[in-house]
Amino acid sequence: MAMRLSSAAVALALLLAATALEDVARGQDTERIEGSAGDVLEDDPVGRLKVYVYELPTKYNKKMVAKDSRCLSHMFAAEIFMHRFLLSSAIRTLNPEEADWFYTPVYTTCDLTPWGHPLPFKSPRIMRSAIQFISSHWPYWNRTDGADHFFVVPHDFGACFHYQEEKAIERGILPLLRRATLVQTFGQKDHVCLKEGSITIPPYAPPQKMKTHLVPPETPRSIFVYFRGLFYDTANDPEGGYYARGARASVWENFKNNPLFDISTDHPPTYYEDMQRSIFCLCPLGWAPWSPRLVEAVVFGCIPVIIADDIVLPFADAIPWDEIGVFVAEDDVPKLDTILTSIPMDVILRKQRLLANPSMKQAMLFPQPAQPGDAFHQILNGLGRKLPHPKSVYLDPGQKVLNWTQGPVGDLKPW
Amino acid sequence: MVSSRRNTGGIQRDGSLRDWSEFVDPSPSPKLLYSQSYVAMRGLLSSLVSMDFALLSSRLKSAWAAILSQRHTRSPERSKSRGLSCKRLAFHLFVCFMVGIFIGFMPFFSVDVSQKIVSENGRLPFDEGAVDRGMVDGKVKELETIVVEKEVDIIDESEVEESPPVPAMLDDEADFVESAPAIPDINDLDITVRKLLIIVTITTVRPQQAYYLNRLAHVLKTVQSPLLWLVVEWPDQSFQTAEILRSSGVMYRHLICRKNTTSVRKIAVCQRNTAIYHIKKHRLDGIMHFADEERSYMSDVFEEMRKIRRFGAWPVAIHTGIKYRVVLEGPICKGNRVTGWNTIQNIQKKSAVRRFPVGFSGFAFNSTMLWDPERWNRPPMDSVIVHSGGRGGLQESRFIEKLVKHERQIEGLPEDCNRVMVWNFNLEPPLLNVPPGWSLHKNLDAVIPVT
Repeated sequence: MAMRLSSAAVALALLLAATALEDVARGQDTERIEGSAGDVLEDDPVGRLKVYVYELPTKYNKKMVAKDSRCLSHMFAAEIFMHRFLLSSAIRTLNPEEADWFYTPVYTTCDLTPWGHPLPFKSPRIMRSAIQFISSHWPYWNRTDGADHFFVVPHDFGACFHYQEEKAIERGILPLLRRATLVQTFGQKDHVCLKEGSITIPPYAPPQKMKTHLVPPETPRSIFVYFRGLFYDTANDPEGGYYARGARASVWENFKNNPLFDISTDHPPTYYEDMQRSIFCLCPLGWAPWSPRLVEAVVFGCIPVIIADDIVLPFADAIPWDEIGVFVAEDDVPKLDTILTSIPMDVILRKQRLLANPSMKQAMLFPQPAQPGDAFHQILNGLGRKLPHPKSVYLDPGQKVLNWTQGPVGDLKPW
Repeated sequence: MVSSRRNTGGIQRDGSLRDWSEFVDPSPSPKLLYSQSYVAMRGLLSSLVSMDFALLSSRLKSAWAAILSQRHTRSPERSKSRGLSCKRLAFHLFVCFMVGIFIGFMPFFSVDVSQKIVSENGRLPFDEGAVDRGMVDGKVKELETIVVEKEVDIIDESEVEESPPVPAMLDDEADFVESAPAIPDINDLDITVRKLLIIVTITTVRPQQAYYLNRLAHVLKTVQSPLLWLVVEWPDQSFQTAEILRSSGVMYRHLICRKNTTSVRKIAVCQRNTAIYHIKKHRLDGIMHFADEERSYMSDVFEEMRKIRRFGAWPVAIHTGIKYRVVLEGPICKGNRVTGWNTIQNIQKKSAVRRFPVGFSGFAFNSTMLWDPERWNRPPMDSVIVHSGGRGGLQESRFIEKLVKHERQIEGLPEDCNRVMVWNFNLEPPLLNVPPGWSLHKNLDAVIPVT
């Protein structure tokens, strides 16, 4: 009884908070963060770096898309759009001698299963084959063993190339990529699949589609907490506990009966619109710590509630995630209601104003064609900030650092 | 059950003697007892399903509950008003009731179960005979109620030895005893928190939708939070509906029923059940009401709903006939106690008599009844959903029968049911010629052009 009472009291608090918020959650004003972080987003990479794009046989890129165009719309599609962007970008150089960075256009996640799932079983072989190609056709790879090369590896666990964390950790980053700079969506502190110097990027969310679902900014935010997605992955985790480390299951079990928590597995056609009328959007980990919800929340002005311990967020050096989002430890999920309702109103309003800042949204998107300040530009800015390369990246003539025969035997088969 | 306990307790406590005196004649009771046993036997033998038995058993249960409420008394006010004699009376009633239970319950119980099964199948839950007794007349009800309680009083103890023990009843008794501690809980919740309202509205895209849905949204917007609006659309989430809802500012969830049918009736049933399933799945705890968009509401009615513990009903003004006569439908009350019904139904037409003459716009209930049968002593497997069968309000009546068995479980709102707060005026024109989505993309020809 006491428990019921206290939960009722909490519910009351929640509801009061929601009502109050509803009235003021119209924030159309935007706010910029003065000083470091916010301004970095508006940097222009042109003139700061030059990128040489390798010409690869089309079987590494264009033919894969032609075979299955579905990889243009899944959440790993950034690898394709990055290539297209670089081809027409002002920072591209056709002279490899003056290049600061080398880019290898290989679409490792475009090899879809017949059901359209981007499972990275062949990715290591595709990547190895591409590196073999560039190292044998140009001298630049061997000059540094890849230290001035960057690769876009947007899969669940980046260059570990496996969708299950356990297997991914076992595999580790593909040995050939251990000196290269990796541009990846996966980000978690002290994880073998995130090496130092990698650039964490947002997953791809279709910008055109999102734009068509925009509703007027004065739309009342009538949902307190919103989430759509799986709570249990019974197919891959029948016994439970592994998927999302139990965090999503905990969200459902604790808050399914809370009227303020609009949470469900159904994916409604008004998903994007609903995010625009929500105050908080849950971004819990799934199999990987990140999900497209991060992008969607920022773009739709819904305060992201990040539930993924030790997550490394996209462009964390440029986007002030602490100020626009709310971080909740996985173990604290049962207290989510009190955590969210005890956030002071002015803090929430400030977060909303920061989210309303167009440069924040722009940095999360990969628009076609590219626009100043978008995610492409943030990647380039990130690469630019790493320049000049330290002298140590250049190997002595004949020096070899990489072991080409390292890794599982299956990965060594030609592609 | 909670409210019924309190109400019946009230009857016995104060107004009882005065009110009872005009109805109760102690002599007919034995006769009635006999006739009931006779009917019960007949029911048992023929396995006929009769509403009657369910009602009677629930009345007995209510009486039992009334006694229990006296035993588990918490309110100081109540204990003050009731003297020692009341306690003795309670004990006496209790003993006699136990006796009566063994005699009377075996047939009632078995019939109760079969009644449940049949109504689950969507068939008529009562036969002609039952309708006679289920006649909608407050005074008759009152009389029967009292007689049943009296009957308990007069049963001789010697009869106990003759009746076989009924082990099945033990479960029922346990239910009552177990549920007793839940009472303070529910009551306290009412004091500490403003109860959540779960308002269910079914809608489809049609010319009048914008008119009705906007109107309802505006009313709901003025209701004090917490209020959760479940809007169920058929067959898809339409742009029109989503837009109206989005601008409303009400905390809503836009659900869909995709049923592939053209029957308006079946669509509505599917929509209502979609909302019920949502509440069950999410175990939402609040007062649930089906607010059809065509109805017109005073916002006060929503505050009244918050007072409901189990099931509440109120009078609704409706139109009837081609002459547009305005009539009232709903409970007649003394305080919150339902003493009778206003209804437009023709009492002569037996087949169409409704046990509870209330439309969807005239009642609200505690949503926990849908998913926590234990709390309400409802059969655990008996799922409450709307069935498509039954015209002329029978559908609603059958739905209500799943939730309450007797008027004593119904709280009449507002106090004395003396105010109309909902209107159900069916003034909808048969055909409207309107621009799609009410948006004027192309200018109409000006009636008065500016020169």
